[in-house]
This record gives sequence, C-alpha cells and structure tokens, in this order.
Amino acid sequence: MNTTADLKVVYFPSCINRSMGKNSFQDSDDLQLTELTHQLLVRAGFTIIYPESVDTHCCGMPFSSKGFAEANHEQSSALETTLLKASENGKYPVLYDMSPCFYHSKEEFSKTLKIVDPIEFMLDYVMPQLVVKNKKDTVAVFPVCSVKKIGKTEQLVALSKLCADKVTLIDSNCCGFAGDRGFLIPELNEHGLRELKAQIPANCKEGYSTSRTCEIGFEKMSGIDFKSIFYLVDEVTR
Amino acid sequence: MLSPSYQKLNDVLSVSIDPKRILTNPLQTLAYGTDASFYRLIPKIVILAHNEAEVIEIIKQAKALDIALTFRAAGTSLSGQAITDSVLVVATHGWKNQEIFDNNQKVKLEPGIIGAKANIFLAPYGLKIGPDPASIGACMIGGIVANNASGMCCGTAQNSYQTIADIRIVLHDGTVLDTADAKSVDAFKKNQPALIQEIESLRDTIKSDETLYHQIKNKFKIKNTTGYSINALVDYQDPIDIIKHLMVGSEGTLAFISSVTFKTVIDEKHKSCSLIFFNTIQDACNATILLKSAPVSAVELLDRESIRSVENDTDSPEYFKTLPESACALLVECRDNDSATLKEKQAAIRLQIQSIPTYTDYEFTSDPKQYNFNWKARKGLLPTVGGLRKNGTTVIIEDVAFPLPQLADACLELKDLFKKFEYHDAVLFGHALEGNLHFVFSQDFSNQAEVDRYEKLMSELAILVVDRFNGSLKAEHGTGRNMTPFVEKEWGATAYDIMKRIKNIFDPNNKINPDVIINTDPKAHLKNLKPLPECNDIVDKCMECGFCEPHCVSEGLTLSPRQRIVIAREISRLEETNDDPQRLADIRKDVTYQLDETCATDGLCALACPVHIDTGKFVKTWRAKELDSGDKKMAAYIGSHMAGTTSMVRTGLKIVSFFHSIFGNTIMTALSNVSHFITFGKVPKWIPEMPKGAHKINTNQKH
Repeated sequence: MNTTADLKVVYFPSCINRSMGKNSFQDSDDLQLTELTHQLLVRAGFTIIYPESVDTHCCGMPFSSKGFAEANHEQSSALETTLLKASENGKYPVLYDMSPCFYHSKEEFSKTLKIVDPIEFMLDYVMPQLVVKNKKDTVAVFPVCSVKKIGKTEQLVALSKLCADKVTLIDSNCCGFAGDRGFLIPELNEHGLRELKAQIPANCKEGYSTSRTCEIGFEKMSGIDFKSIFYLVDEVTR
Repeated sequence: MLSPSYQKLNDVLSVSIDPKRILTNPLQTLAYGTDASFYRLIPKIVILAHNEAEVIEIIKQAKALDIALTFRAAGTSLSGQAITDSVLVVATHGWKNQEIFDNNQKVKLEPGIIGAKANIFLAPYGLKIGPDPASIGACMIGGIVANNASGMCCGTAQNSYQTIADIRIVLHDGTVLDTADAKSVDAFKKNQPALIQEIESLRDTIKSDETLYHQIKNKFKIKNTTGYSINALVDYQDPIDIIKHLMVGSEGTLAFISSVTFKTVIDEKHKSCSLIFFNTIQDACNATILLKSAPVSAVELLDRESIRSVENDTDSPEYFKTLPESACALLVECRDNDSATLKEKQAAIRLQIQSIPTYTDYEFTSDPKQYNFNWKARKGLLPTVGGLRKNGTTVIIEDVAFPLPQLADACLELKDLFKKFEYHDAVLFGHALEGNLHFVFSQDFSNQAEVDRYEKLMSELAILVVDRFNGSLKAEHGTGRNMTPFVEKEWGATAYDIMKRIKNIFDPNNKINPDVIINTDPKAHLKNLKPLPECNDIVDKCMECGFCEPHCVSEGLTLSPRQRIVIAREISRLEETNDDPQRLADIRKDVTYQLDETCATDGLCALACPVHIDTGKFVKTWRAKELDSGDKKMAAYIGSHMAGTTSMVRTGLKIVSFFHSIFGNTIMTALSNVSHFITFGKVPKWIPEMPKGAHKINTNQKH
C-alpha cells in the first residue's frame, strides 16, 4: 500500500456525522462514520489533518435553510478560515463526508480552497490506492440533491459499480428529509419516497448515499440498511 | 362560500372521493387553477381525481347539477385551454399506469404520465412515443394527445393524430368507450346510435362537398391545431376511427381521456446536427424546401435575433457577432440507427442544398459538446426572452404555420408586422420543415394601451396568416381561449359549422370545458388575462410554465415551485391593492404549511427551470422574513456554540436510543408525537430510524 507522506488530506467531518451515530442495522462493534472514514483514509495511505477545534465548525447550511442568513455567513467564513489554515492555504485537498455540506461550502467559499465531495474523493483519490477484494452482489444507491446539482450522478454509479455487480440507481426527487424536515414534517419524506420500495430489488438489502439525514429517511421508507457509501468502499476493499 | 349547486356537488362527491382531494380553499384553488397560459380563471372546486370510476362519478353528478367541468393533466399548455371558473378535475397522481405490448409495437399510457417518463420506459426497447413537444419533460400524455402537441422532429408524420392506435374516453353522460375493446365498441354502437349516425352524417357531408374536402386535406398538410381535427372525417371511414382521431386535439372539450395507446416509433441511436448559416432568410427557406425531400429528422430556423442570444456563450464561434443583419440559420438534424447510413444521409443532405450558397462552410457533428451547443442555441431562445423581459410582463409564443413555398415571404412579413407594433425583443424561430414558426416576445397586460396593442397585433396576424398565406394560426399549441375568436376566420363558415356540430354531438349542454375552441365571444382572447405582479427578485422572471413541477418533492403533497410563486404573487397583489382583505387573510391562513414548511429548499427546481429560478432560495428569504429577532439571537447562539450543540445532539440521541431499547417503537412514537404536537412541530418527531448518538471524534488518533 502506498504510504508516501505527500498523500495528505484535511478531513472535515460534518456536524451531522459528528453528532448522529450509527443506524439501527449496524452492530455495536461497527464503526461510526467518522471513525470508519479515518481508518479507510489511513488504509489508503493518507495522512489526515483535522481542522483546528473541529467540533466548533459547521458549513452553515442548517442556518441558511431556516432563513438565518447572518448565522450562516458567520459559520461559513469561520470554517473557510480554519480549512485554509489546515490545508496550508489550499495545498492539500479537503474531504467532506456529506455532499450537501460540500455543495453549500462550494457556493459560499470565496477563496481557492480545494474542497472535494465524497464521491469524487472516493473515486479519484481512494480507489486508486486500494484493491477491491470482495465485490458485493447488489446494492442500491441514491444521488442526493447536491450530487445532482454538481452533476456527479454518473460518478456515483461508476464508484458503486467498482464495488458491486448490480447497482440500482434510485430515481427520486429530493427525498423530502431535507435536513431536519423529516423529523418535523415526516409526511414530506413519506410523500417524497412513496415509490421507493418498488424500486429496490427483493435481494437488495443495502443502500448507500452521501448524506446522513437523507439516509435516515431512506432507511425508514425502504426498510433496508442505508448508510454512507464510505462503508461500501471500506467493506469491499478490506 | 360555494353557491348551493357547487356545495351540493362538493357534498355528494365527498361520499365517494376522499374529501382531502376535493379542494375549495382559495389558496389551493388558485394554485391548481393556474396553468402555463397568460389567462387566469380560478376554479370554485378542484378535484384531484385518482381513477376512472371517480371521473365517471364526477361527470354524472356535475351533469345532474348542470355544472361545467374542465379536465387537466400537467397544466403546461399555453393557449388557455385548461383553466376554468367552475370545476377543475386534475388527472395526474393515480394516472401513471403504462404497458408495452403487441411485440413492442404499442404502448398504453394513462394521462398522468410525463412524456419524458414514457420515453424512459420505452428507451430499453430502442423506442419512443411519436409526439415530441418542447415541454416533454413536464407535460403529460393526457395533454399531449388532447392538444395534438408536437415539436422539433415529429412533424405531421409522428404526432398523436398519426400515431394513436386506441383511446379510452368518458363522455359527457358517463359513457365509456374503449376503442381497443371490441365489447366496449359494440356496446357503444348499440347504446349511442344517434351519435354514430351524426358522425357518419358529418363524414358524408364533407365527402359530398368537394371544396370543403380539399380545403381540409390541404390545410392539414402543414401543422394545424386551430379548431378540431376535422381531418378525421376525411381520413377515416369507420365512425369509431373518426371518434378516436377527433379526440386528438380536442383540448378536453369533447370527453375525458382515460388512456391512450400509441404506436411506438424508433428512437434512432446515432444523431448528428449542423448549424448552417445562410446570407438571407430567403436562402434559408429555399434550402428548407429542398430539404423536405432529404433524409433529415428536423430542420429548425433561427433568425438573426435568435443567434444574438447565444453569441456571448463561451462555445460560440467569433463570427456569430459579426453576422450580417440579413443572416439566418438552419439547424439540421440527422438520425439513424446505423452510423454508416448516418454518414450517407449527411452527404445526401449536403448534395440536396448545394445549389444554395451558405455564409460559411458547415459540418455535421456528433461530438456531444458541439452537438449540445448547437441545440442550446435553439433551445435557449425562450429563456433568453423570458429572462430579459421586464418584471410584470408575460412571455408570449405565437405559433403559426405556412405552406412551405411561402415560408420566406411569410417570415419577412411577420418580422415587419412585429416591428410595426414595436415588439422589439421578438425573436423568430421554428420548425421550418413543417412551415411552423414561433415568435417569442414579452407583453405587458397591466394597462389598456398594451392590451390594445396586443389586440391590433392579433387581428393583423390573423389577416397575414389566413388571408395572405392560407396558413395555420395555431400549429401545435392548441386553440385554447387565445385563438378561439379566429377559428371561423381561419376555416370559413362551412368548416366552422362542422366544428360546432362536433362540439354539439359530444357535449350538447356545453358543460365540458366550455369556451375553449368554440366560443362566440370575439374578444375572448383579451379577457381573463393573468396578472404577474412583482413580488421577489428571485422569482419575478417566472413564466409559470410548470417545467419545475416534476422535480419537486412537495408537488402533490402541498405545492409545487410554480404554485408557490403563484401564491406569493397573489399575496403581493392583494397586499398592494388591498382590494380583498378577506381573501388575503384566507390565503395567509394556510400559507406557512403549504408554501414554507413543506418546501425542502433542495433547489432541484432550478435545474429544470428555463430561467433558472431556485424557488428553494426564495422560500429561505420567506423564512427569514417570518423570523423575529429572538429566533435570530438563538441561531447566533447555536452557531457560536456549535461544539455544545453537537454534543447536546450526541447526548440527546444517546438518551433517546437508550429509552428506545427499553420501550420499543410503539411507545416511543406515541411519546414523541405528543411532544411534537404540543410544541407546534418544533420538537423533532421521533421515528424508529432516528440514529444513535455519535462518539466524540478523537482527532489525536495515531495514523
């Protein structure tokens, strides 16, 4: 495995993944996403730089979504400053573990930080460093809205096909979970995913995406295990 | 308050139809009552019908109460054919069944299926549906057939009229006719002898009138959606075949369409196109005439003003900016399933028009970047005019067709006409191969002088199209309310009388989408014009086309992006004019849930919007407006204490998870529902899939 020192990455774990842990399908000895990401990156030969006082940061999107424009800008610019420092002014890529946060920062940031979305990072940075040892039979994947907006649906499929023989791409608008809306107005999520179950093949028991909150709704509406695609990459390369 | 007969209809239908799908409040009736046209009528009742049995019940009960019905699917039509101030029946959700059969030669589709979704369904077979309207990503089968909608490639050869195999309809008295079902046809013939006889009599009347017969034959050589598809009466002998084809383009004025069976058409694998520039419109039109007999799939004309809309695009060649004022482009599309044959076709096209000089050399391209740029030049025209127009004005797309030999003269005279009435932003483009031209321009309807200007334009347009060139006043957008005063002008008294008889055969009481196609009011096209008041920068350019609707998660639950904008505009108008405080209050009552809370603000609507409006962004500004300073202080506090917040969520979720393991799902759901309720929705509802709390990250882990 490549362990050269220049494979450095700044890992920004989103506030959602820092606070929300495993889903109901996961065992007690499974790793939560932030821990799994850490191990996966190390296994792929990366040296991880965590942004200073990472626990105080958030991309700002939760504030923006609720109409708190000022709180959003404060959060976002504080994060940008910290990431610039951590990446030595953009020398190293910054990995986001949720697509919506990546999209939000991409829209907000003014300077030339090299922030990378979870799909691109896995496909272009991690997979070349690892070998797929036990491909899965069948998985379902969902391109969350931010993936569609940055035009990465095809890359999500390409990444998934490296990891599984049969990939079902879920066709849906926004799932309706929309951050915390799935908790506050559950009927929106239920309406958004009313055709989900019919799309998932009977033998498909695992689904993957790149947004923790969306995954909660997918788990609820499909009845199958839905989690970050990082878990898929990790499992098939171990 | 509903009048007694409407209240009675509401009451009686609530027995058999879920009352949640019978809408009478001012917010929802306005939202669903709005379509893509520039007309506005607000229905008294909107019924979201889910199946044919419900529609039959609605038709029967409305007939008993003498109440008019209008049927609608996507609401993307442009001429005012799907609006009403009576009862609107929406057939979208619940109308999605599709079936391919007869060795893939036929596809049966219900009215609520989006055209593009039907094509996705057919794509694995290398097939598609014939009609290809530009709105195919949003419009639905019901409307495609009811308007005989068409687009760039299908021409008059593969439109709904030509590719329909069968249809299932519900008539004004609740009778069902399924032309694919021999039993249904037999029963229909037995039970409706007068109707059959009337159709046969119409057919024979036309056959015995040589002038009329040839007029009809001639007029349908080019695209025509002015009035009914009376070519059915000359093209077919069997009355059931005639009925089937009369339904195409009937704009919901003859019957409700429950399902349609199309003959599928081949979706060619290999595609190439070329943007060919000519020195003059005459040259381009002469080339089009020659191309009529060449192996082309589409020939689109773009005038000089059209090209200007893309000349600043990074992919545009430099010479776009220096083209002479007289220049004109043809976008020529070539398709085949075999790539070698595609090359041969391209050579044949080149040979066909070699006698006509071009402004520059041209090549055919299949390179996705170049291919898409060429089409972008064509498809970007509507958004360009729509995006540059003054707030408060609407976008109008005229849709006329001319016999091909007269196309060049017609183009020039049309351009003069628009100059004469000072429509300086007008661009001219169209499906040249079919003689079909579109003029897109912005129009203010907020004052009488502007309405008068439009009236004069329309009456001179009618003279130009009909008297000068014997063309079609509506080629593919339907008659609606917009062209109904001119149907007789275009067709003459004899043919118009046939059309009135058709309406009378199927709808003797004039209660099925009245005032559309047949309307005695000579000023119908100038009435019920829709206001588009300014309300917020982010959404002011909205044309209410409805292209966003299929991409919205809350569409069908509460509102779509278009409907959110419609409601926001109405609130602005009511606040500005203060002319109906009660209506304003009634709309405001439901607006928080309908417009604000159920918007996911995901922004996918912007991807489909021709003018790139992100309604989610607009809703965020709406939310900001609703917040008080206390909320803002709280947000600032949470923001500056992010570490504490995430820690609280972590701990909170751990506690929730602990109790979940003890109590199980049922009690947890009940407990959290209570807290959700008593805190007005602010406390998250607990769901069994709520995650466990995460562990705090140890950033000092050894690598």
